[in-house]
Amino acid sequence: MSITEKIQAKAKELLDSGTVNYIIGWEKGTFWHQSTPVFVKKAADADKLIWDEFCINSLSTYLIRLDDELKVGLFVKGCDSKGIVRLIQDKQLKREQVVLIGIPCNGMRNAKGAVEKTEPANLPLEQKCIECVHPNPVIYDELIGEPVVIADKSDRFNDVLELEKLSPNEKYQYWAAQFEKCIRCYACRNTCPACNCKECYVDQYRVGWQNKAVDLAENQMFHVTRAMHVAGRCVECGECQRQCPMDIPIMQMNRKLIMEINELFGEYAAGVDLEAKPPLGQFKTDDPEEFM
Amino acid sequence: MQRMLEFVGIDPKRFQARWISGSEGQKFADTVTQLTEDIKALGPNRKLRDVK
Repeated sequence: MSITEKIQAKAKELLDSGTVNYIIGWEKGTFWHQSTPVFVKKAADADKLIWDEFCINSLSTYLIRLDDELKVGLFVKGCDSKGIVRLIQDKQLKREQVVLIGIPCNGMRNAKGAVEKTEPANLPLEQKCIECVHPNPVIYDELIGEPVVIADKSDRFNDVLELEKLSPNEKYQYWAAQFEKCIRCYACRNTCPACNCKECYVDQYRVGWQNKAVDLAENQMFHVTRAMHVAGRCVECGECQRQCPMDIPIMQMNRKLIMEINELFGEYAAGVDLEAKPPLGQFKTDDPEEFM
Repeated sequence: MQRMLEFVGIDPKRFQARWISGSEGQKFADTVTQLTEDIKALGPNRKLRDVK
């Protein structure tokens, strides 16, 4: 039985028994290199569900502001499952509200620039999958497929270290060129499982934290603030950077903060252990107090 | 925050966070005076301004 068949069977079972109100998974998109998220409400529609090398979208973001009454079945890769842990820790979701079917993931393929249909194995891996630390789901009720061997990904911090070597002016020039591109579509925020505030500070336009103008100064303000807001909670799913239409290296900023937090508060991997409290979400008497 | 500013190429001395109680008026005054002097020495901040 292929994973797709197992997914479909599991979805039918959950919907038929009434365990869940609906299922979120992936279906084949318009193009051969696209698999898009799909909500399945009837068992008869469960045949839409698939699993292939293009199920890149993280599904956890669809559970932000989930109705308390609803129960949802969800297929999760490693990155999706970390998003779920994030939401549960942030009290956006109760664990009982989700039935998680874990799928170990070998990495998704990027078909950007591919014209002719080819075997997915010939395509390069998505950037976020190259840097992925947790290909196996960290939280699930049931696992479909065999766990993937976890490789050492400590080199994912290399581009942060490279950039740190530059002079302040060179760093400024580098980021100014990146932020200049930003069109402030907020796709990075909308897809982020850590950005689960009911009202984001950028939308509080009457308060005026963030001016709406799209220029370098405001873009800088937005990106630094966004990074600080997810500090210590970013689960490294990489969705922000993948979805960025302007190819801004958003994960480079997130990883900088992850590195700093590891250094200041001890090693911590956000979104992995449901019981471990985020370093910035608790107080310890031995916390570093640089500013006191 | 200072480390983040440094990462994007802004002088971290421009940002200070201090924990001062409401009863520590003198400490507050001293801190702000010191910060003002430090920043004056650094000169105007051109980097976070709108450069249009």
